[in-house]
Amino acid sequence: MSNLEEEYRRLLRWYPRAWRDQNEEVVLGTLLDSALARGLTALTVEDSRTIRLAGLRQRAIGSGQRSLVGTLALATGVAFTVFYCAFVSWDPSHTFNGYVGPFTNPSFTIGLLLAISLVLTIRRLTFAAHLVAMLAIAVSVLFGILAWSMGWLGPSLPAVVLFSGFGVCGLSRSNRISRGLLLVSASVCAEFAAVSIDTMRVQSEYVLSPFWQEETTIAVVAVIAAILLAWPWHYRRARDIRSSEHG
Amino acid sequence: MQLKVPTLYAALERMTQEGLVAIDGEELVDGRPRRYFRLTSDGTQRLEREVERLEANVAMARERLVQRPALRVRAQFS
Repeated sequence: MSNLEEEYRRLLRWYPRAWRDQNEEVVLGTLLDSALARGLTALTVEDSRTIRLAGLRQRAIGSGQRSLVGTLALATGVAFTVFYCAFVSWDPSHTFNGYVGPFTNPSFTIGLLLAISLVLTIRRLTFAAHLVAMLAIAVSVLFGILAWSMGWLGPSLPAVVLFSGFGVCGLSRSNRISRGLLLVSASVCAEFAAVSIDTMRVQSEYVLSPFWQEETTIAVVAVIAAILLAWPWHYRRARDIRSSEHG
Repeated sequence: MQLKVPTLYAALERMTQEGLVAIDGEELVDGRPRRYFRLTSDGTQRLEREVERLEANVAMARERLVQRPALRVRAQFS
């Protein structure tokens, strides 16, 4: 093995393993052919930089495959955030503990992260999308703890579970309806558990502050119904796209 | 313009995912694997549209170049 080949192999480690398994030998051969054509016997700084950057970009892309379950969960999470910000946390006329701008709590930042994750998913940057979704989950939990310990108006426990649930479902790599239904079922169970705990904790009719229990239930049921209604359509569309690609 | 190998392969991967090109086999050449790609029908259509767009840009650029001396004369008298 020549020094140049060793150097190229070492640099190609910047790419993810799955990519290397499929492409390393072919790309290495092309790199060596290109170096031979240019009369190179050692790596150039520009070549090294280009390979490193391309490797990092490939890591950001991840599999590059959009997941039906993940995309739909993130889209629903963004829709829920818009609803939450517009009808729950929007109150420019009052100030509360933990308020940010016109919002009664900083939950809109979680929605913003979910939106960024959705855009990255749509652009097939799946690894970066998953990182941002994980950040959304972490921020959601952190805000929940801060809200509980510092007396913020929100996000309440049910809201934290909803935001985190959308983030967790957004990490799914699956295109299968059964996996999606399983995730939705788990989310519903977690949400009802959170609502019950929150109801017991605050001993009042407010569960998704400042929402009443009935309105919260309607909101949760509406989100779940939207997911269930949209699922078959998206599944059929994904299946048609896949069959046209392979046909 | 010199296209770097990683840039080329990133573009080929993206075009493969978009269905514009497809892998058309591999073979060993001097002990190194070489991968071949072919244009799909979608890729051919996209390329035709791109060529038409570039031709339109070239035609517009030529037209502007022809008009250029007249513009310069007009600028002198304005």
